[in-house]
Amino acid sequence: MKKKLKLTDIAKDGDRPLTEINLDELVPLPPPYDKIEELPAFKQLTPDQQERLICNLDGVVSYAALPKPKTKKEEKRYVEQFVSGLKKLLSKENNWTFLQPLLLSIDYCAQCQTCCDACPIYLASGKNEIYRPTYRSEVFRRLVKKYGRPGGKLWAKLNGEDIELNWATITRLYELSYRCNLCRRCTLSCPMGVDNALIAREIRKLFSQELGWAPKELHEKGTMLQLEVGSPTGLRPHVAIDNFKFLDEEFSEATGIKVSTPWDKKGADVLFIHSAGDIISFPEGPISFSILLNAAGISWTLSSEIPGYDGVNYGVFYDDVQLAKVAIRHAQIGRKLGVKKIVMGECGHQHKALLTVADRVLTGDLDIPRENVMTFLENIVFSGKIKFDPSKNDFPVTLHDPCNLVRNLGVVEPQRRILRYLCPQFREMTPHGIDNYCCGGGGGLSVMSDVNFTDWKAHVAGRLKLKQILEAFADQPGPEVKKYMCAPCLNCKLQFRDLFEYYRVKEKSGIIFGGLGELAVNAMAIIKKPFITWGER
Amino acid sequence: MAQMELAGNMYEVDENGFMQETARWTEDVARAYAAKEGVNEVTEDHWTAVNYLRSYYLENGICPMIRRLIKVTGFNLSRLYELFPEGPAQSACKWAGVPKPTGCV
Amino acid sequence: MSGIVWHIFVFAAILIFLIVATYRTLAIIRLPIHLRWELAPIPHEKGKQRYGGSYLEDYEWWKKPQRRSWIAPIIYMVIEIFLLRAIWRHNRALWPLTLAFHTGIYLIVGMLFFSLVSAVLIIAEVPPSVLNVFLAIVSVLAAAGYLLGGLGAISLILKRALDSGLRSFNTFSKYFNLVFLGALFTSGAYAWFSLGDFASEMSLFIKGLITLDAGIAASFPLSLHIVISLLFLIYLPFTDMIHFIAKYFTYHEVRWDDRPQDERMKKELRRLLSQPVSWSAPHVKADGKKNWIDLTTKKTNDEKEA
Repeated sequence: MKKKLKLTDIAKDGDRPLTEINLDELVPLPPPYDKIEELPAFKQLTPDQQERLICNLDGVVSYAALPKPKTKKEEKRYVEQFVSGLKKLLSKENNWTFLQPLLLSIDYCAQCQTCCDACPIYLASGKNEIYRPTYRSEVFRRLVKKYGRPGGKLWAKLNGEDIELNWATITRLYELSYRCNLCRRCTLSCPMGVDNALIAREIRKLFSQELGWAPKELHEKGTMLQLEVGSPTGLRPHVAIDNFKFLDEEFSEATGIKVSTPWDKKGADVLFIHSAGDIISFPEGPISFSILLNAAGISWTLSSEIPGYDGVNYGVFYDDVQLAKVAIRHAQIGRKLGVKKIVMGECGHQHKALLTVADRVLTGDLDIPRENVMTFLENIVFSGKIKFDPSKNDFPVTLHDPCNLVRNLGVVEPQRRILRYLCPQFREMTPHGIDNYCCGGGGGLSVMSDVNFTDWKAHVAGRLKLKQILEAFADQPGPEVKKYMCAPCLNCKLQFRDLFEYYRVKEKSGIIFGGLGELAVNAMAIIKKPFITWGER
Repeated sequence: MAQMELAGNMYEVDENGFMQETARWTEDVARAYAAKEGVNEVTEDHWTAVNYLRSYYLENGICPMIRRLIKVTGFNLSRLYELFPEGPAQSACKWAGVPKPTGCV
Repeated sequence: MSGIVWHIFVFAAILIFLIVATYRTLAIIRLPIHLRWELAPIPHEKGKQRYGGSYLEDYEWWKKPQRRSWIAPIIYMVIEIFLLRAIWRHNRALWPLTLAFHTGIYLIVGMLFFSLVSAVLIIAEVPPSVLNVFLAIVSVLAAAGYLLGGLGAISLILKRALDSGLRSFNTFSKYFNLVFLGALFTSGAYAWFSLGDFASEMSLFIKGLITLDAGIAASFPLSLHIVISLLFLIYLPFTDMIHFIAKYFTYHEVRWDDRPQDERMKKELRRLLSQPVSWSAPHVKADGKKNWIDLTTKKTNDEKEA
């Protein structure tokens, strides 16, 4: 069902979705994932959910708590709030943080649609109009010009670019802003330098900072929970320490060497900040760093102060105020411990938040040197302090490039130098490096799983990535050959967990995923038993 | 907020069916969740896992790592998947009446 | 049209263009510094252009001086401007059409430059053998420019109208701009074909402007072309066709702005962070008076920030 969607449709018929996901319209996957009948069906909303929830975009709901107004007056109030938020987004005091990039992207798009063929979501959906980067941006652009500039309403009518602003428009725009991975492939391809991912984020920011609308997983149970108890996972300081003690013991036993993780060491050279989610769900990752840093004789520490043991900063996805709050807390903790530098754990957005985006809110002596984990790890691996035996990693390995680390920060080669050294069967995906495809979980989507959003991520957002992974291993596709996809980013790993579970990739293709630290430890000569256990225990 | 009937009472649940009012949990709730997943008999092994999960959550505010669950209960991963159809994270946490884990887990 | 009207018209058009374009450029420049939002590849990174790396790859980069290449960004932009590299890579079907169109524009700009040179040479009374070389250049550039530009404009109008992917985004001004430029190229081509010596007439006209000759005149085809061109020049800076200026900023000031904080920036950031916030959501806790620092920083027990 591919009805030709128009921009003005966003305001019409607010109770019904504009489009729907049909599995046979999506880009086909290579065998053995090519038979639609054998793939999981797309989870639809139950009749109860259809009644209670607002589902007027594409049959998918990411925010179950979107308020349902009971009167037209209430609807109007929300719409007025949207307009007041839009004006604040255009003001120097309230949005100096991104005003110049936003205005440039609003004013200079030539509507050439070049960006659309770079967007993995648009392509994977079978070129569904609603997922064009330009659909979302152009709706917003027209609203900005109409309500944010003098004479806007007259111009909109004269130029044939009038968009009605009503309850349907704002609710659909809200949901649509969370159908973007913020991967910025569109930006890379734009001849003007217009940034559709930026516009998606600004839309999210407007809703969050003015109306207080933001996904529960990113906001209420995200940045808010992190600032209150230490982590969006709910991991409190004493539980974090306790968990690491447990892991230190477990892995000391498993590896045969003493694993110990230092906490709160004042004056250490390095403050290392993991993603707390790694500690809970992929503990081999953080522990691999304990092993490597200790073996290299680095003076380092973790911090148990809220939120110093969880480096995530979801604010980078949707809200400048929250972004600043979390980043400043991280920097304050580093300053208090008197470390020489802060190093982030394997997580892409964590790097983007603390190393670049929030850099300019860290003023004065909060501007502590911060380093990315790949460069840090490369220095350890090639320092000569640890003896490696690459033959222990003699299985097919490919690399997933996290968008935030690679395309957004320009950290491309250090991880490749490590992989080329430690993994004899390392091969690249196509495209790779700064041209990579997003895992499908970028922009905060990987931690969002309300209603049927996970289905959308697995079927649409992550589709091209899955295709890419399978193609990278096309020379040995069967499950009998164990293959490792290196995904050095926690959010990506969560998306891959969903994706791999959906399609039973480990069972059908023998592929597992994990970080870079594990590969390095697996190649350490001193550890006799394999560190990578291929999901069996 | 959605509502779900479990063991004859109405409870507030999220859109994935996880209980929101942890304090109202009873063993009957666990049995009701189990029945929904096709497990008609909740055995001692089930209770070992569910009770550990629940008490850990109530004490620490977060579910235990899989490794801890494995170590304390003595069940390996395959046994856990045998007991809980959707796996320890999805099924066992749900039957134990704790909210769905948030954040990067 | 009488001489003096030409002078007023031409100089007014140029003045309006300069004033409005400058105003809009200043409006962009005057916007406050923003948070970093860079995007690889960043051409000024020495030695890493091949794969798009940045200085963040270097171990403890803050201890080393930043190695920047000043020429690489220029080469990058030259290729982008003249060969439209992004469109070649990501929208191949559009490339020949828009390349013809843009090349037409560049050739006409070149033609104007050489007409100016010819006008100066005429005033300087250089020998005809020298002058004729420049007039020939003017003639060739004009022919090629009007032809390519005209074909480009027509093909772009057709593409906008026929391509279903583009069509739903079209507005009146999108068509109007292309038709206007199409008229500019077509009237130029008409002038070139119907005049005996286009290059001479054009150069003499410009000479008349430079010398403020009250007797300045042009034949009907050339007059028509010049009038359309001047009207376009007045219209241009009010539209988004000045993306040729904005592009400097989207690349240099946003995509390639990866500068760590320096003293001047720190001062400006402190000023910006002291501005009041008035966002309404409850978690922001703004009251229109508290500023960014108040709202995002919790005072800690250790030393105060600078």
